[in-house]
Amino acid sequence: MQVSKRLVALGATTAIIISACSGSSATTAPSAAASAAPTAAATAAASAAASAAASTAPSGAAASQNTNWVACVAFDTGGLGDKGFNDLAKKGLDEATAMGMTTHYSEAKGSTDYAANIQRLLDQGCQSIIAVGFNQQQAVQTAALANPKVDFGLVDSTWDPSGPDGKVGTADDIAQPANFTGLDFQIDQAAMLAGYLVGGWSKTGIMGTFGGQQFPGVTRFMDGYYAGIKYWDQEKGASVKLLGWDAVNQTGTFVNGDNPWGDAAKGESLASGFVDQGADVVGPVAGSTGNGSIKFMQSKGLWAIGVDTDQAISLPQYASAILTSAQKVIDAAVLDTFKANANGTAFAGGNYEGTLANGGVTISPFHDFDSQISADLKAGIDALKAKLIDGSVTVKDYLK
Amino acid sequence: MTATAAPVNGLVPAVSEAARRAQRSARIRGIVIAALGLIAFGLASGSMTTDVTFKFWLQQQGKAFAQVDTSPGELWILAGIATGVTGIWQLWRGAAVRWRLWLVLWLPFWVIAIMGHLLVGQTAVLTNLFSSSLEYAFPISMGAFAAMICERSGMFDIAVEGQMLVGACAASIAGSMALQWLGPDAGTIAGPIVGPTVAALSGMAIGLLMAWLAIRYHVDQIISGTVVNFGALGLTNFMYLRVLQTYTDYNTPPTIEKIQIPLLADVPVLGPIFFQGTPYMYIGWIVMVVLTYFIFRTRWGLRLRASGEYPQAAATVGINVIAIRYRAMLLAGAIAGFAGSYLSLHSAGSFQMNMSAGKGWIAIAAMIFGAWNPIGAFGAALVFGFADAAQQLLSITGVDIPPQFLASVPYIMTVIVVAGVVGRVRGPAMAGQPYEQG
Repeated sequence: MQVSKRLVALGATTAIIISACSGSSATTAPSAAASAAPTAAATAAASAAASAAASTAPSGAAASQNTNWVACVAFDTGGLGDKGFNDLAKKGLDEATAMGMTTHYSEAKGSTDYAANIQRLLDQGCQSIIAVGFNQQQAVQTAALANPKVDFGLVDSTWDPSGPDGKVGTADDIAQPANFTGLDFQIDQAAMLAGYLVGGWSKTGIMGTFGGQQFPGVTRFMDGYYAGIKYWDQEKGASVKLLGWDAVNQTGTFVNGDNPWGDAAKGESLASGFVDQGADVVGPVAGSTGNGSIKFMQSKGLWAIGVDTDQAISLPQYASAILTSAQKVIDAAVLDTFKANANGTAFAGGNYEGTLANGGVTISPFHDFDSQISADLKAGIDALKAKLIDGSVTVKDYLK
Repeated sequence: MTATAAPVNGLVPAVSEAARRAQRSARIRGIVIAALGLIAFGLASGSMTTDVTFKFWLQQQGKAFAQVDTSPGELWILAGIATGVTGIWQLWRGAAVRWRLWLVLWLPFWVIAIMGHLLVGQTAVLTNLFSSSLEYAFPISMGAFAAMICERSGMFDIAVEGQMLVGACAASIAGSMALQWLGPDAGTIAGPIVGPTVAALSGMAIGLLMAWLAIRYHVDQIISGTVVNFGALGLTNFMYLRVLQTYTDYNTPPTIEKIQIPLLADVPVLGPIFFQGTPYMYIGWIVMVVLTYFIFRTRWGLRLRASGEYPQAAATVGINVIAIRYRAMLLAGAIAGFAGSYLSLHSAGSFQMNMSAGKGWIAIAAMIFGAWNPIGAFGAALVFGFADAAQQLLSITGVDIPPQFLASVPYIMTVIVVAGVVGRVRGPAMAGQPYEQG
C-alpha cells in the first residue's frame, strides 16, 4: 500500500507540474478567424501577398508626421507566422520603420511571460508599445498604469475597467488612462459589404452564418451580414434570406459546448445543415471550427465568407471557395496608432476605431472570383461603401 | 418471468424481495408510459390543422428530394398509439418486458412528433439531422465500447477522456510527420493510416500504465484514472503551446475524407444518411457488431465477463484473470485512442487544446445508459448525438429554444436511468475491485 500511495503522489505531482508548465493560457483567445492552419504550400510569398492585399490603408497626413519615435510591438506566444493578426501587426511595424521610426519587437515565450516581455521592450526605450492578442490584456493594462509616460495599445480590444473584482460599475473600477489606446474595429461595416455581395451572388438566395459563442465580437460580424442582405433586398426588391442569425431578436446558431473554436468536424456538419436548408454561401465566425465549414463548401463547389483576415491567403487550400473576407486591417491600425502617439495626438474616445472610412476595416480582394463578380455588383458594393463612409447608411438602421 | 414461483415441496413460495421490487417498478413504468401515450393524444387534438413538411435528399444533397407533408397532430397520434400500446403491454406483462428494447419502438415517434411540433409551418430537410447524429455518435460510442470492455473485465476505465485527447494529439503529429517525410503524394495516403494507428498505440500505452498501476500496485482506479486525465490534458496542452504552435507543419495532418460506399450510397433517402460518411462511421458499426458477438458468444467473452463478475471463481477453473484484465485494458486503450484520432483528423482537422471536450465522460455515461452492452451503448451515443444535431437544425431553421435545454436532455435521461427510476441497470459486480491472484 505504501508503494501505491507514493506512485499516486508521484503521478499527481507530475500532472500538476506539467499542467502548470502549459500555464493558464488554456483559455483560448476567441479570435474569430482561424488562428493558424498553415500548410506546407503556404510560403513566404503568400504572406507577402497578404501584405500587399491588405495595404489599403490611407497614409494620412504625412507632412507634419513626427518620426523621431521608438515604436514597438509585443507579439503573442508563437504569434509570428500566423498569417493573421500577428503578421499584419509586424507589417504595420515594418511600415513604421520605413517611415523612419526606430522599432523593436519581441515575442512572448509563454503566457506567464507577457509582463516580462513588455518590460524587455520598456528597457529598450520604447515610447509606444502595441500588444497583439487578447491574452495580453491584463499585462498591458498593468504596464500602462505603471508607466504613464509610455503609450500602450492593444489590438482588437479596448480597456477593461472592471478592476480587481472583475465587475464593472463598482468602487474599484479603473478608468482608462490617457496613455492607453484600444485598437477597435467596426467590423460590421465590412461584414455589411460582404452581406451585400452575397445578396447579389447567391444562386439560391439563402446565406447561412454561425458563431463560436455569442460574444459581441462575433455577433458584430453576423449583424453586418444581416444588414447587408437586408440592404440588398430593399434596393433590389429581392428576398434573399440569412439563416443562423436573427439580428432583431439577437438569437442564432452557435457552436457552444466545450470546444467552440476548434471543432472542424462540427463546422463541416453545420455547413451541411445550412446547405440542406438551401444556403449556398456560409459565413462562419468560429475560428478553426469555421475551417471545416469552408472545406465543406469547397467540396460541394459552393462558397464561404472569411473573417478577421483575408482567409483566401491564410487558408490558401480553400481559396477557391472564399468569395471575400470581412477583414480587420491590423497593419493600418498599428501604423495609425504609432503615428498618433508620435505626434502626441489622441483619438476621440481614447481608442482607435477601424472603419471603412479610415481603412481600418475592409472586404478583402475577390482573388479568383474577381472576373466572375459582375461590374454592376461591384458598383453596388462601392456605392454602399461610400454611403457607409459618409454616414448616410448605418448598419444599425438595417437591424430592425 | 412473473414473480410467482412454482410451489416447492408444498410450502408457500417465498417471493424474493428483488423480484417483488422489479415487479413494482415495472408497474410504475407501465403507468408512466401509458400516461405519456394519453398526453400525446391530448397534444394531437390541438394541432391537427397546422402543417409541417419534412424533406429528405434522395441521393445527393441539393438534388432530388422526397417530401412528407404532415401535421404535428398526425405525428402526435402516431406517438400516442406507439406509447399507449407499449404502456399497456408493460402493465400486462410486468417485469418480463424488456423495456429497453421497447424504447426503440416508441421513443423515435416522440422525437419526430416533438420535431414536427417545433418546426410547425416550416419545410425542413432532415437528411443532415440524421447523418450528423451518426457522426457525432461515433467518438462517444467508441469511448463507451472502451470503457465497457474494461468494466466487463473488472477494471474501471476513467481515463477514456485522457486516452482520446492523447490519441488526437498523437494522430495529428504522426499524420503530419508522414506528410512531411513522404511528401504530399504518398503522405496524403499514408497519413490517414499512420495517424490513427499511432493514436491507437498511444491509447494502449496509457491503458498499459493504468493496468499496471491497478493490478500490480492495487492503486485505486478512480484516482489513477483521474490523475491520467489531468496528466493527458497537461501533456497535450504543453505539446500544443510549446511545440505545435512553433512548428505548425507538425499539426497539419492529411485529413480523412468522406467516402461513398458503392451501390449502398445510391439507395434513396437512406444512402445519404448512412453510406456517405467517413470511414470512421463504418468502423464504429463494425466494432459494435464484432464486440457484441465476441462478448456474448465466444469463449473469450465468457472469460472476460467471468473475471468481471467473480474473478475467484474464474481463477478456480483455470482462467488467468490478470492476463485477461491486461488484455482488456490494452484493447480499450486502442479503441479510445483510435476514437481520439477522429477528433483531429476528421474534416479540416488539426490538434487543438482540450479538443476531446468531455466526450470521454459522456462515453462513460453512454456505457451506463446502454447497460454495459455494445448495441445499447451505441444507441445511447446516438441519443447524445441526436440531441446535438437536433439543436443544430432547430437553430438553423430559426426555432428559438435555449440550446442548453436540448443539450441537457440526454444527461437527464442518463441520471434517470442510473438512479434506477425507470429500471435498474447493473454493471459487472467486481468492476474496480483489485484482484489478488491466489
